[in-house]
Amino acid sequence: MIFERRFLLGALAIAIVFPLLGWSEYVIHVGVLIMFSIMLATGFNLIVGYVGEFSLGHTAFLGIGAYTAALLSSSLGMPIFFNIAAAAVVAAIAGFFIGAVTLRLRGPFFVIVTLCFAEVLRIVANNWVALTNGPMGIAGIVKPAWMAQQTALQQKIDFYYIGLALVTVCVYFAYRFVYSFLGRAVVTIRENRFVAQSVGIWPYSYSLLAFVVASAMAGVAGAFYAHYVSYVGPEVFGFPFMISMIIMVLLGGKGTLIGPVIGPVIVVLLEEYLRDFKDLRFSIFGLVIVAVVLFVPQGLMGFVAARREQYARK
Amino acid sequence: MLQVDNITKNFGGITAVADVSFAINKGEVVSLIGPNGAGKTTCFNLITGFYRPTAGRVQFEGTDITAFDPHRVARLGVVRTFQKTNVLPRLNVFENVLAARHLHGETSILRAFFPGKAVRVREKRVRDEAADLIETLGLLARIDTPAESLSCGELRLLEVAVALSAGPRLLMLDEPAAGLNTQEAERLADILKQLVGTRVDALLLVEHNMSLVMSVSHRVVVLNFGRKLMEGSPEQVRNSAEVIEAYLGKPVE
Ligand SMILES: Nc1ncnc2c1ncn2[C@@H]1O[C@H](COP(=O)(O)OP(=O)(O)OP(=O)(O)O)[C@@H](O)[C@H]1O
Ligand SMILES: [Mg+2]
Repeated sequence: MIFERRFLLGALAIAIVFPLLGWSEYVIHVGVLIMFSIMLATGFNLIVGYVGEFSLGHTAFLGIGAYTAALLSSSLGMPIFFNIAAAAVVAAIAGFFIGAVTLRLRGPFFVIVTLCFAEVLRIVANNWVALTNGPMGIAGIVKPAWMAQQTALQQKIDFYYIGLALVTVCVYFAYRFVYSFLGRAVVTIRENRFVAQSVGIWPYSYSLLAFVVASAMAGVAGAFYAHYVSYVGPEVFGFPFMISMIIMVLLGGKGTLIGPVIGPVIVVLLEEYLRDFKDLRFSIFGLVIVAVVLFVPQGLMGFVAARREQYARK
Repeated sequence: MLQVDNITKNFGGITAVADVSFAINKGEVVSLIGPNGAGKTTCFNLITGFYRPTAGRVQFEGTDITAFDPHRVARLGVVRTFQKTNVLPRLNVFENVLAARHLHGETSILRAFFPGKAVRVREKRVRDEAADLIETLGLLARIDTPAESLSCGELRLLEVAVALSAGPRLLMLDEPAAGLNTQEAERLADILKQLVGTRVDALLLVEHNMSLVMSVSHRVVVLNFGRKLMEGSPEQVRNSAEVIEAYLGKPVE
């Protein structure tokens, strides 16, 4: 707990200073992608790492957030921060309903049904042309007004800091979730569902709460992404985002708060580095997953930073 | 406190529990005994909501809890242990006992995300209570040890600690002395005797260790093939021909 808090605060300090070192536009762009990924991974980890159920449909909420922001911006001209908040709320509501259905299932059934929800939403986004503009997607999401006069580099730096602020909020919520009675309850459910029930914990309600919080974070990530690239298409519901999320969390260390911060840094850098390999990239990622599961099943941070409690003796 | 009326449970063809009734009063230690497969654990599951009875009714302090979910039964103050594992193996002793104290550390969701002084005070109290309980059961030296690394005797004590930590009024223990040697079992008996009236209002015990059963119980209920064979004082049960027959078979004529 102390270690995690120090690490996260240290990482925050580095992240604040980082853009001041005179990097190129491309480097800042990678930084923005990392911020985006940390939001996603931090939320996803609440489900995979703490509740202990494996969702393959978390992109549903990424997509819902992205489309919410895109529609609010392009048709109503709403400002970015309003759209991000709205995306969080809409994704949370969707998370509540989808979670309420899927969390009645466990293990492989849960995996498959969550995947189905994401797939259904992707098909809807592809075909409901009146709302989503179909496969063409929604383009021309306006950049915030204050960016109009700025250089491309400065715009990216602004997005970087917006991303960092959102990451800070997400990680704060995740931290509070994990180190409160909520985290204690979900870990109890994860470790032994029957014991949890026998001491008065209702597994369904706590799993659902984690699911809703995770959905809201994915929604925030989606809205941030939509404004950053000024375009949203049905591929936000697609499987590649899901794969990245899984690798980030597994590699970083599920069930830790640091894991979903470190994982995205490594994976995004790797993705950029492997960009030249085009589609072979995915095969390489497949191998990475296999290697992680075989050799570091707890992830890089699994041993150092899993939720631990000690009694402070006087 | 607890009133069990004619509960029956069928699993497909087999009847695991048939028409069993008994009651537990405040201040009592009641034991539920019977040969393997007699339906003792099934009774526990029926009382605590893990199984729904095919027929019959369970009441706790006048509330009908027959259709309650397990967590609601626990919330009312009926906490049971499991015969197999009743701990969170990868977590340490402190985390186990703290986790079981869930109901005492609950706040609103908003308070969880934005804790104030009240939450911190409460959290500290819950932690102190957990440590206190660990000390009472003599596990203080092992407070940071993962449950999976404990010896069998320590594990049994932790199981009791986890159940107690939830703050039960009626505590139900399923074979708490399984795998203990005589000395350890006697120590457990001493602990159990002190529980009623201090930490819990009543105790329901399932146990194969007869000397433990006889030394702690006020009343014994005997099950055989899912049916209630008899009920009485430890003395009466010990001397009952029927009970001896159920355990050892009919004497050869
Ligand atoms: N979930 C289940 N499905 C099918 N049969 C079951 C189930 N649970 C218990 N049974 C059967 O019900 C009967 C009673 O089992 P139970 O576990 O209650 O016995 P017990 O008295 O606790 O025995 P032991 O002393 O060995 O723990 C057994 O025949 C068992 O096979
Ligand atoms: Mg049993």
